[in-house]
Amino acid sequence: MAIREVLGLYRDLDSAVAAADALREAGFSRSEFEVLSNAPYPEGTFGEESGIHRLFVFPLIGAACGFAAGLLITGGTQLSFPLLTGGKPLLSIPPMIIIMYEGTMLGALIFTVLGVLFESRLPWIGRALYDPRITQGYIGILVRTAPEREAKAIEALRKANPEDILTENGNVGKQPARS
Amino acid sequence: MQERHRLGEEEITRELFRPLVTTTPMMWVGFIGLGAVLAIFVFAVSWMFYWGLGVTGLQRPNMWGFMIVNFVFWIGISHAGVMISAILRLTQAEWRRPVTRAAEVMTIFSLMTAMLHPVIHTGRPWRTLYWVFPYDFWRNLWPDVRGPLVWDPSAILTYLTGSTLFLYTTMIPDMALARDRTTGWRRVLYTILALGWRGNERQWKMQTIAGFLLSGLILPVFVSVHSIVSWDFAVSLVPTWHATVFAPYFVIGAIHSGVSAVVTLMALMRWLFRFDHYIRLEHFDAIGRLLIAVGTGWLWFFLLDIFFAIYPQEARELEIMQFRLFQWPFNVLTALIFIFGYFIPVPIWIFQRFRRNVKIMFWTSILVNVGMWAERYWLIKPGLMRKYELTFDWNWYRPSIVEVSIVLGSFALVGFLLLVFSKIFPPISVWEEKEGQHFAQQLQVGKRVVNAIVREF
Amino acid sequence: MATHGHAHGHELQRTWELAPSDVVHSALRWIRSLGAGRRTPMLVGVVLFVLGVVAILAFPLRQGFADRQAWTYVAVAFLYLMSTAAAAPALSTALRVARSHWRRPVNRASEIWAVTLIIPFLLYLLLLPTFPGTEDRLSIWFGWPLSPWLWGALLMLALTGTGYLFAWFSSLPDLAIVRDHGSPAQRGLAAWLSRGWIGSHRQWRMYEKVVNNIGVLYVLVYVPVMTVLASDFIIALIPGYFTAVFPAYFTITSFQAGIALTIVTMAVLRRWGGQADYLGREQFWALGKLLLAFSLLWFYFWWSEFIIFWYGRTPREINVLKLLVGETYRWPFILSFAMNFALPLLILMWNPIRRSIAGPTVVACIVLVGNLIDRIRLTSAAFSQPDSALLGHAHELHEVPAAYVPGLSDLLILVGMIAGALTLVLWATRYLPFPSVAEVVGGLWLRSHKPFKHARLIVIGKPE
Repeated sequence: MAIREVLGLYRDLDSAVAAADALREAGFSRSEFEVLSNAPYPEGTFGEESGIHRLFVFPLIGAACGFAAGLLITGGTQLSFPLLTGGKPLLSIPPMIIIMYEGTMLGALIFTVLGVLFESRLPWIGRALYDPRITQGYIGILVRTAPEREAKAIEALRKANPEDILTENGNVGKQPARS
Repeated sequence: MQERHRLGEEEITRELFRPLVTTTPMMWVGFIGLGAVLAIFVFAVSWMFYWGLGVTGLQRPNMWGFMIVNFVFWIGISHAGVMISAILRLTQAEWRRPVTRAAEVMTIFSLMTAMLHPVIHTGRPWRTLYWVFPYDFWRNLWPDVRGPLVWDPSAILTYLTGSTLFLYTTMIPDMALARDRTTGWRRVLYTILALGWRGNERQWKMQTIAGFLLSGLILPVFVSVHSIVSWDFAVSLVPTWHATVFAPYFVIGAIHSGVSAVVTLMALMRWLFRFDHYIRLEHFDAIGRLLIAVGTGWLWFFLLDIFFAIYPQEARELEIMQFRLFQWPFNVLTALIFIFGYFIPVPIWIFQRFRRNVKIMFWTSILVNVGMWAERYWLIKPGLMRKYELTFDWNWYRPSIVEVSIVLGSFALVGFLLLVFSKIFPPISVWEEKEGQHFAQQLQVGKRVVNAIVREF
Repeated sequence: MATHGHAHGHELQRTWELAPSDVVHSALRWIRSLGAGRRTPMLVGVVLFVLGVVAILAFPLRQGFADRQAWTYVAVAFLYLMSTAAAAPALSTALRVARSHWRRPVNRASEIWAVTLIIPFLLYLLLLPTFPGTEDRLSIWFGWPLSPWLWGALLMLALTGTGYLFAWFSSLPDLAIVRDHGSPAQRGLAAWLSRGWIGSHRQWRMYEKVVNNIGVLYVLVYVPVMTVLASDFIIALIPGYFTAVFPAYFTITSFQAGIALTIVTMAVLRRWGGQADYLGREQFWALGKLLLAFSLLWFYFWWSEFIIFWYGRTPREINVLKLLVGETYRWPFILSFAMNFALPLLILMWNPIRRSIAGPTVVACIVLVGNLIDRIRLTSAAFSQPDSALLGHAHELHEVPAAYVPGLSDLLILVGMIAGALTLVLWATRYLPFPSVAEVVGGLWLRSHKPFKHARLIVIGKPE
């Protein structure tokens, strides 16, 4: 594997922020590590850029699809079986508007949720380092980097008083092994 | 004034997951009691299926009775979820955090219960479903979109799909939390539902945006749902139904009863699950203030409906109005609607002392919903019982024991589903509570320290 | 449409970083800089107003009260002022009650419109004699003695009184500033109005309570007044127009116009009133969202009525639709539909436009014109029925009347009355400083920048 992962676990926010700083000082770019937590912190807490996303496109596409579906169903069923009811026109637009409206909103809602999942990269079934303690309130800092920089990453993570440091080969402990 | 408790991460998780792991005696009482009523409900529905609709009080011209009234009522209750959760999210009201989850779940369960009613009301639901779904394009057989009965399913399905997706999206982080600390079948379930959630910055950012975006999208749907339900009645020419005000009037009534139901639920959660640290008096205070405005708006529409029904001074409208204002049992219902729906609760809510009293809030919210059920009945039934140009006959409607059981059973159904939900999923959003702690700040002016919050958007 | 950088509002508007003394300085600058800038528009306004009054005297009044159609544009002016100027103070109350603190620089901009209430009140008194009594026609008074004249006038009097009280109380602390620091010409009235205000702790507590309560009272009077006006001026004058939702439509769309008026006032203050520090993107964005919501409600309330009539299809419903929507006033309707609903939706649905200052302002201008066209459509349709068409509890519009085309005098009346209202507001700005010191200073400490690790946060105080 060309990419190696290192996960540092921190008990509190201060040391996690310090770890992010240490990584940046050690020359790791912001795209090489991510912060895992059990609840959101205010945006920018770890010095992250707010990433580019295209979530706002999804509801528009969904709305267009839903609108088209509503138009087809309502217009199509009225025209393909022309039956006069209640003195209303054969192609009655007001009732069409109601169903097209619901179709539009349904499309927009479904596509928004799809968009949220897509932009969050969920469902995610790959393997990556993770620790259940993160949902307990620990903050995880996951570095993904080239194998030769792995040691450097561990060293940087150790500077900020980690609780544990996990690599793909197991727990390497918070202090370097004495030789 | 917001009172704030600084709670540890572990403490929040443990307390909010408590209903999942321990079943208190009161919860057992709830399960058994509601289960018993539910059994009666199932029996009544089966009885009706077996013997046919003749066992109900329905007869010409009263073809819509308790079941349709109850349908309208439960659709109304379902409006609370969005009302609370979407509006409070959009306005970043801090007091939403402990309320949103329960309100959304109530939306979904009451919507499902509501949908059940028109289906069983057809007497042979399997045939109804067979002829309606899917559309039979081969033989050109399908419902006419010009009839409002087609709008209903489209609106309700949109709302149900939307609110379920909304609830699920906001539940994913809590599923990950549950996944990391359970074993056995629960772990399998939560692992599947968590979709591999890890909680990185991007995922949290998407959560926040999704909250706003979905709220904005679902609000227009929620307004349309009860409007469309009201048009089931209003686009016909039945006197007292054919009123232009029906759509907004139904919606504001729905908000009134739905938000009151959220108050009921909040009180119950406080008592059953001992969530005193989360559902605090300030939350009752805030929701009580909201209810004053909602209730007064409802009263305005209620009066508009009555006054402009009398306004044309047409015999057929006047007769029915006379009948429902002054004749037993509708005169009692009128009084009930006014007194329970407005004149007892709203003056009480004006006083902060009462708004901060859980028991008083609980009982006033129950009163509102008694009044609102009466209002639904009062709106729908009288117009059908009387003869006018287009009907052949007139008759009283007397609900049978089967229908009464179905109505009582529907309450048990929603309650039971809510209890089951809180045995499987945390009834208060855990991550949102923790987020609230992360975002809590304080400002100091002179000697006064004011609670503050980080602006999210 | 990707979101970049710190687009999520992690910047604090300059307002909240000012010191209290800065705010006071701005207000003092305002009251001391009364000069030619305001004199010319006021002069123009007075001239137009006088022309309007002359037009009323020369045309409708000479025609007499029996010819209601001659009064059409007096009624349009009246209803338009009721929908805009009288609705704005209600917005101020709504924002206060919702406890949103961004509103603090906005309140004055909407409350100041309460000073114009005397004009619609007088117009209403002029219009009352054109209505026949309600004994022999359909009306919401159901033939109650002396209706609609006495009871309508009492309602309007209550609204006007509450409005002035509201404008007065809400500006009490600022009037005290004018009293103490204004020019001798300003001092007289300000001193009289702010007698006894010394800014003690007790007075401040009373002030907050009283302003809130009078504001709520104003809304509680405004809604019934609009309900009655919608009924007396429109519904009761169109035979067969049986609609319960119309009063709600009329009130809700008035709130929409009130929001639009506030936004336009803010834009003017920003551009020509030196209020750029106080009225920024935060306020325009928030009110833009509200305007969008109310534009959707415009459609909702119109549609609620339309779909019932369209489905009912009784001859009288068809005739009402022909009159108001389909035939006689088709173009005013289409314009009103576009300007009150379609354009606001299509423009404001885009977040970057909502978040700007120009976006909401442009839409607010469109809505103000759209509301006027809507009121012209409704009033012209209603005022073209002679008494004979209403008496005997007429139930149906048997003949759809022709459209009423305004003449020069009608336009003079309309423009004159609006100009009169604007002149009153300009006059009031002599005594009411912008920004409102009491409001803005009271909110300064509720918002601040706070460094948090690597982020710079906006912290919002929640004192309640």
